[in-house]
Amino acid sequence: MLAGNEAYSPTDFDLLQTTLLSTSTASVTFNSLNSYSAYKHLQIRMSTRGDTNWGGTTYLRMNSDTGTNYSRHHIGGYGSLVNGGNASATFIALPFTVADSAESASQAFGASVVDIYDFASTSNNTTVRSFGGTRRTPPDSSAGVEIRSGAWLNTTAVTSLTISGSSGLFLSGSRFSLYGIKG
Amino acid sequence: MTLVSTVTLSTETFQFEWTNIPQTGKDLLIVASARINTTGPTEAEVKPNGVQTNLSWRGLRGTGSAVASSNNTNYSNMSYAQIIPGTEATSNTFGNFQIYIPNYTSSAAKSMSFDGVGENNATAAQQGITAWLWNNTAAITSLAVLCAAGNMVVNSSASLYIIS
Repeated sequence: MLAGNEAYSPTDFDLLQTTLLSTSTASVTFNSLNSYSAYKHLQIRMSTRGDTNWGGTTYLRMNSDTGTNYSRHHIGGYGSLVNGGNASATFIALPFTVADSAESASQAFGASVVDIYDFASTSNNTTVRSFGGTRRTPPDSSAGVEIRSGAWLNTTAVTSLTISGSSGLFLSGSRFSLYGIKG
Repeated sequence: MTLVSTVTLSTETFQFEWTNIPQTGKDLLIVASARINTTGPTEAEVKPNGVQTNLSWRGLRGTGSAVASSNNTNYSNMSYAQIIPGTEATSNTFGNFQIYIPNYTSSAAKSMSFDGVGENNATAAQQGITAWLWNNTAAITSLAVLCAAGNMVVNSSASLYIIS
């Protein structure tokens, strides 16, 4: 170690890619995930706000698969209401994105953490766990805090991840960061 | 965050185990993916320093159609949410979960947090968060994570990390 330099302490949790939107965008894709063979798991941390056409649901898809090849479940708290749900679907649903509307605080963004374990496995389906939420003023049934699960019912290794909405655009300032976790 | 080691099962067994955990960190994090070889789903358990006494929990879970909360001192269902799928679930589908243990070397009681999800291409699959307490002042030097029923199948895995 050179005098004056701090010791380098390697970590096993590394930033791989970040997309910070400078214009409104319908979807964000992390590609070439097969190049991250040093990592066992992936994590997405995202801060998102949708435009006035935002459809209310945030989608996650693997390898551009738009077929009915996903399952999803959730538990949520929405102020005075709690509930759970399930669906067989064409996507995995992620926690809320703040929609741009009169009820949304100016410049407020939804926050979510999404864990994708064993993304390179060719023997397991891919299970996703996510946690996140939003707040509105006043709160309503389309804002709250959620734990969501989802599975891509395919044992192919995940090589790309695409995040989009049921309709509408992610607004400028939305950020999507992909991290690798060694294991 | 530094990886201590990963256990990937090559034969079916009921636990992941780490011994001689370095005492150099502040917190521990376990990241796990698991499925069992019998009808499930089932819960995850923890066994610090080889014991399952003085453990208690309070949890919140969803079943795919309902939400419930509970608490207990029974270690055998301490994740509350049954997030490890079994033979009732879609083939090749695993649950995933993490356990966060702050101040694992301290001489205070150990609070822990758990969050996890199972999956299944059907109505029923569970998600949950649970607060755990191990009311013991010993530093954690060994740790096991167990399934509450059956054995975990091949390719189930768990990684232990130290957060400094």
